[in-house]
This record gives sequence, structure tokens and C-alpha cells, in this order.
Amino acid sequence: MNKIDLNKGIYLQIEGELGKYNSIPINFFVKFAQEFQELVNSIAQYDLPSDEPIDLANFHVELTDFKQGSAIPKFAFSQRIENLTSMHWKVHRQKVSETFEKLIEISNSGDYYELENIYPEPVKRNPIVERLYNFTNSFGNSPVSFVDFTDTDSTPKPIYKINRFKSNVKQKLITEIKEEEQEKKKVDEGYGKIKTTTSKTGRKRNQVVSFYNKDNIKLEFAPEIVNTEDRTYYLNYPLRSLFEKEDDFFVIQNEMLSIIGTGSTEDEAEKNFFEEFDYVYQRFTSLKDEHLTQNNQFIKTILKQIVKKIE
Amino acid sequence: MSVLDPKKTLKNLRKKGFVDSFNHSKDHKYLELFHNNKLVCYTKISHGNKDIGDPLIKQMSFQCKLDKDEFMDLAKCPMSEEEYIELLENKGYLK
Repeated sequence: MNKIDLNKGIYLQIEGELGKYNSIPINFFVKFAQEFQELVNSIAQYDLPSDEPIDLANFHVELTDFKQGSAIPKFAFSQRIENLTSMHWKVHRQKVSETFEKLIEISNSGDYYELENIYPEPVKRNPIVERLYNFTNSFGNSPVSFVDFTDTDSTPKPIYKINRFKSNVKQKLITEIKEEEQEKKKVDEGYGKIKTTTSKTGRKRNQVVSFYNKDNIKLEFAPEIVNTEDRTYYLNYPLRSLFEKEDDFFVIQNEMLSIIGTGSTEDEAEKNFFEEFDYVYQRFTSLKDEHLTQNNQFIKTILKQIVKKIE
Repeated sequence: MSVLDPKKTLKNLRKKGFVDSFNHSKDHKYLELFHNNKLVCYTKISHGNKDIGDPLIKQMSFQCKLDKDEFMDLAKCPMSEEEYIELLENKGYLK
């Protein structure tokens, strides 16, 4: 028979420094109430059967009563109908409540290593251990117990005491999870849209905002100024060209003007592309149209339209 | 990875009708192909003895209006000047 039930509500007696005025400071209340909710959520998430859909909204906990005698808040699953989804919410709540009691029994015994037997799989144990640790340590040094009242007696009757969950015990219970996939690493090359933020101290941090697979995307290279050693071309509009990486070199290519630049680095490819632009412009404009094929006449016409001035 | 000998490649391209251009850069020599007194295409080749590697092969292939395999045939000789001109004709570059 269950001694505590989240469906009916459970009383938590907080004594010592924290509850000595028969009240609870808001900041402490918010902290441990949040940890309480997180613990319940993690039980729902990791302890319920994984083949059934779980809606964490079904496990919202609310403050339902408050008694004095130190500070004794009462928590229970929310009765708000709008929070309830899926067919199995009642069964799930019951299971979560039972597991919660099991965890509190462990805390009462002080033998937190028992968690290893209940949750042999680290993938379940780790989050439960973390949440239980956070919850049991959210009261500082104040003694805390789950209590109940009888119909005839207003004195709280202790059920489970919350014992301190030591940090070194927690560390021993947490197991590093190495996913099997890590051993079979798959490397995909691609291009990213990078967001760079600069802190006040000038430190730059790059964040990949979007990733594009190499096979699906070619990036645009669109200079408005073409710089070579001898000349600088100022263009009327950006020279939209494709930029891509082949096996171990970079390629910049403008199909319309039949100009290509390659190089083992981006800079080298750019320099090369600009040299080619310079060559094509100078050479094609130096030749009369009758000495150019139709295709090259077209390129010459476009080049003349693109270039605003040359310095 | 493909490589070409620059001197042999230069020699072979000249055999296929490419002529030296007046324009050149510090590191590269430009070659041009005329057909019926019209400039059809140009390419550039590195000076010196350093092998021509993939980046320049890619560039030269594109400039010669060929894919990589075709260009390797042109540069290494199996493709004759006539075959090359016919290929350019078929691709519509000689108009």
C-alpha cells in the first residue's frame, strides 16, 4: 500500500531555518517546487513505457494546501482538465506516483546507491539521479520530511525523511554515455551559414546557423570590385558566380562569362578568378568583334556592361 | 589525383593549334586558339617544371571547353587537332 500518492496530494514538512516562521521564502519555494516538478517530469519521461506517447502536461503538479507547524505545503497532480491528454493519463500518473514514492523511500533510507539497482541503464539512471539530487538538495540544511495527517489529529505524522544526497555519491551513480554511433563516425562535408558574435572583450564566437550538404548546394561568390595587381575593376552590379569545393581545392566559376579560378585555398581561387577576369576583359576588348566567335562577342558585350570603371 | 608535365603539355597544346598570347602573368603563360581568324578559347599554363595538378587541370579543361577526360586526351596527345576542332564544332563554340 502506498503511503504517499501524488493523485491525492502529499505534504512536505520543512523544518529548521527555512520553515521556522511557519512560512516559506518565495525564492526557496520557487526553487524546490521547480526541482520537484522536474523530478516528476523525469520519472514520466524515463520510467514510463517508451512505446506509449507521453505528454508531460499530464504531470503538472500544483500547490493545493498549506499547513503550519513549521511550513507544510501540499502538492498534487493538477486537476485542470485542459492539462490532460491521451487515454492513459490516469495509469501514467499512478505509475509516476509509485516511482516517486520508491525514490523517496531510497532517500529515506539514505542508500542512494540503490538507484543503480532500480535503474541499471545509465540512459535512464543519469537524469533521474540528477533530478533527485537537485530536489533533495534544494532545501539547504533544513530537515524535510513527507508527512500526513489523520482525520482526528492535526499533528503531522512523518512518513519519509529526505536524507542528504551527497555529491560524491551522485558522481559515482552517473555514468558517461558513449553512443555506439560515435565509433562508427560518419563524416559529411557541407557548407554552413555561420553567425559570428563578438563580445565586449572582442572575443568572437561562431555558430553554425544552417548546414547545407555539399552535394546539394553551391555557394555564391559575388564581388563588386575585382582587384588585380595591375588594375581594379569597379562593377555596376555584383558578378554572381558559383563557389564550390572540389576534393582538395576550391573553384570559382562564372558560366555566363566562361571565367574560372581555382586554387588550393579560397584566397588563391579568388586571386586566380580575378586574374582570369582581367585577362578576358583586356583581351576580348582589344579584339574587334570579327575576330571573336559569337560566344566571345557576347562575353565581351556583357563585360562592357558590367564594368563601371577601371583604375 | 591527376598530374601533367607542364613542358609536355605546352608542347602538345601548341601542336593542337594553340598559340602563345601576348598577355601573360608572372607565373603563367597564356595560350589562345583561333579558328578562321576568330578567338575561340584560351587557357593558361604554369611556368617552370612543377607538375600541373588538379586545380589547374580543372581550370584548363573548362577554358578549353572540355571535360577533364577529354582535356587529358588533348594534353597527353591521343586527341588530334582535327578531333578537337570537331568536338568544339559539335559543342557550338566555333560559330
